[in-house]
Amino acid sequence: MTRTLFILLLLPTLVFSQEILISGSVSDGNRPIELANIYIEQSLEGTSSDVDGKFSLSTDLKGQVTIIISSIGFETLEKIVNIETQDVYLNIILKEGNALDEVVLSAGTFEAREKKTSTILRPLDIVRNPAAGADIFSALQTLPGVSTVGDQTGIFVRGGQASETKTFIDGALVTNPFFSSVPEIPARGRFNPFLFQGTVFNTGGYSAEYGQALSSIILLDTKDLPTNDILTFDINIAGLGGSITKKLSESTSISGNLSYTNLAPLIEIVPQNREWNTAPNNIQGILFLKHKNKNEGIFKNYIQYQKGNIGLSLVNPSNETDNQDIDNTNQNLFINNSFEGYIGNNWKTRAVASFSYDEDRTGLGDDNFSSEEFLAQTRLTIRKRINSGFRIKMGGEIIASDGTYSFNDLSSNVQNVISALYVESDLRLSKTINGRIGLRGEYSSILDAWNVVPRISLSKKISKSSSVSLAYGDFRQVPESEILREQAENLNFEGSQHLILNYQLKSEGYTFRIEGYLKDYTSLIREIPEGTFENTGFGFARGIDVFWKDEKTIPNLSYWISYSFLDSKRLFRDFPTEATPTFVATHTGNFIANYKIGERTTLGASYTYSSGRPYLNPNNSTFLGDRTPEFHNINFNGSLLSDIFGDLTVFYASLRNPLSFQQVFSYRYSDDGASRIAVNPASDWSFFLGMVININ
Amino acid sequence: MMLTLCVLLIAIGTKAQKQVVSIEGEIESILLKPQMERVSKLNELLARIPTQLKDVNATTKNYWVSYTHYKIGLYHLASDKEQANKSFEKALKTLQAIEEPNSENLALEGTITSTQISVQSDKAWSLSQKASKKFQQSLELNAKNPRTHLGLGKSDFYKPSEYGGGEKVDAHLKKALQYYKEEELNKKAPSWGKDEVYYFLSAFYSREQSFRDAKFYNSLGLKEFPKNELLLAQKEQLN
Repeated sequence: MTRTLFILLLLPTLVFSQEILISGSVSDGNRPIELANIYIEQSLEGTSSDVDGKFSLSTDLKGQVTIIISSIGFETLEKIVNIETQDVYLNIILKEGNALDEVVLSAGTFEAREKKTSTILRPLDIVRNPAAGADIFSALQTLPGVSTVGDQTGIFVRGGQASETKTFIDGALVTNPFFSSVPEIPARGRFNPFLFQGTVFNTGGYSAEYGQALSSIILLDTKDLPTNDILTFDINIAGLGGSITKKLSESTSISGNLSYTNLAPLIEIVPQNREWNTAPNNIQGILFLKHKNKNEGIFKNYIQYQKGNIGLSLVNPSNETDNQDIDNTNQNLFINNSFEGYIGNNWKTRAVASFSYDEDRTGLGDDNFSSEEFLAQTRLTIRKRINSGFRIKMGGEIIASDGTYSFNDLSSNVQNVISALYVESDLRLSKTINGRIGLRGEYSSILDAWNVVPRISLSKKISKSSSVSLAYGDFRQVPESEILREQAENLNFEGSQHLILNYQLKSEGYTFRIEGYLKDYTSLIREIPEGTFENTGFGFARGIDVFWKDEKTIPNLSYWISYSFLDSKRLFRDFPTEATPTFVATHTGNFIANYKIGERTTLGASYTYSSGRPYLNPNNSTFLGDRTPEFHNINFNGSLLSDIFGDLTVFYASLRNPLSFQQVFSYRYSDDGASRIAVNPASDWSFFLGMVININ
Repeated sequence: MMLTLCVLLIAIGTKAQKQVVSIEGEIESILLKPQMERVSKLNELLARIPTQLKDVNATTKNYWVSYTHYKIGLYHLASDKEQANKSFEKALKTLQAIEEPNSENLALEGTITSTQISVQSDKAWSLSQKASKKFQQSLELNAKNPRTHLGLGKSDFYKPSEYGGGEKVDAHLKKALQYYKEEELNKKAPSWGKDEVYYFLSAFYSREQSFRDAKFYNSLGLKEFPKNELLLAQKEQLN
């Protein structure tokens, strides 16, 4: 009896304290990983893997626990395991990590991404940039290397025109990332910054994976699967919208977004420098499907459609009573299917198949212009980490485009297929030196020409927080469709060569970066007097970009200062002589600040300075010899997080140029050159108000 | 007759090992005393070692005399570098008197030599080379000596990355941890250094900004050495 009682008393203790063995193996898919850390997050019990990648540890925890598996050079894995009464066996495969990234190849690159310590910006820096009004491209304009060109759409990087910068979303080329517009009215980007988890802005010397951009590329990566269902309503002074995100399962989600924007109410309130016939308006819809497979690979299917109108009356400098009406209707469709994940023998793959359609119909007085552009692209990139010091990437792409351009009854068609192959290796030459060497070959059917160009960069870590990088690259681009529709014969790729030297210091809370560059333009298209084009143009750009960011000195204040010095000239298009183009400003500076008040309020301020840019004065014998006045602009913005409707509600407001600095981007002259009109912003100042309600 | 001799030798060996274990235990307990008392207690022990280790051979005696000098040197390191260096020199001189050094002697010599970099930074390169040579010799005699791997891990931790430092820290320290565990199965002396392995693993991961890993190793260390001052201070920093 006593013995039975003793056993009964002891039994619960025995059961309760029964240790469970957690064992398994850690590998990279092929080879075992030795010395990986494996531990239980809740109890910090753990061990490390042996030479065969095997491990075992015991625990008396029960229920759901998180097991952390980490190893230098690999991404840390968190595995949720339910521990009950049986031993647990885990077969862990770690993905290649960022060993090569420890020495960051920073020449020419600005990156905004969460969870990556090497990046200079966070996605929030773009979203809440007071100079940007939640437009990615406007935010990028506050970074060094970009000229402030207020009367043209696009990003003008280091002496390059807007068409020299290309935008890619999840690896797919976006032919027209901006809303359409009319002359002298720059358009905003048509992609919502909240779509993206990462932005890479390459101001030069970029990877061999990308081409067809003489100056710069912008890589936007959309967010992965959402963690929960979200319903959002956005109401602002210029429109309204709503979006719904629904998790169909742990591995699949669908999002839909519909928005309508019309600047008419704002135009009513804010005095305008333009006479609008049709206030800029557009309707936009987005459908986004995401699915994660069992190997953590992610499929994304993104569809965006927008249709817009804009119309105004252009003042004729020869006769101010004889205004010319210009109206534009436009629509864009962008469909992208992408997959990113591991296949086969641990190859990381990104496959892209995209389609876009862009249509613009413009009426100027009695004349009609239109363009219809189709583009289909497929791209496959595979990469593999061979070991901690060597990574290889290779792939190819085919871009087929078909554009029809009409002027009244005349029309022309431009069809082109660009095929490209590329290979690139990341090499860890030592603990402190990383290198990247790449080669890209392209063929263009319309030019019937091909090229093979190198890309090389080196980075040396000179202390724990600083590095020096050097990059060289040769870049080629098919001439713009405006030229090809006139003449495609006897033309070749335009070219540019970049040489960049960068120093970067990044310590906790501070970033300093200075970059000098030389850029040579070769084979630029030049219109010769007989009305034909040839690749005899040339040019150069050289300058220094400086960036300073401080997130530490003053609690809750984050600010950055950027400065660019640019000296650039070229002989191209219809230039009669070598000259500094209109999109080049010698000095550009930005100050961007955000101040957080408590957990709910953020205030921002920005100041932009730009020295005058060249403009064409027919009365001056020196071609593009005049300069516009200096440009000054101040912006303020603020956001307040509230729960007044029971859900998270964000109120936001912004104010542009409240001091009404006179901003002149250029001058338009009368036919005889006797009178001129200043080209200035659509309004001297402006504001914006809105709120977003998030219902989880 | 042979049997009696064997039994006698085993008995002497066991007795000698017990004496060594008690010396190491005494040093550990001295290091837990208030800081002011430590040097005097270690000096007292230094005087007693020859008699306390009466059944132990000269090599082992020298090892423990050297180790005690090394610990005294470490105590002085923060306040009096000259005094610290004198202790390190004494420790090295005692070790170098050993005619046929074993793996432990060489591991300790390497450890002391690399610690000397703290007081003779102008000779950092040559001291580091010297220490590295001693560790290599130690590994040739016993590839599973945890103190040698600890020494190599520490050296690599302090070596500037410009010179290739920091690449083998976790490999050496984790090997050390594994060999300490194997060593614990037969309680022999010396056994020092395991607390330092946890400390340096945690410091290494902290430096690599893998803070969860850093906390994990600090926590493991404190489970085994709950009163270790370095680990406790490190815990504060990590939090």
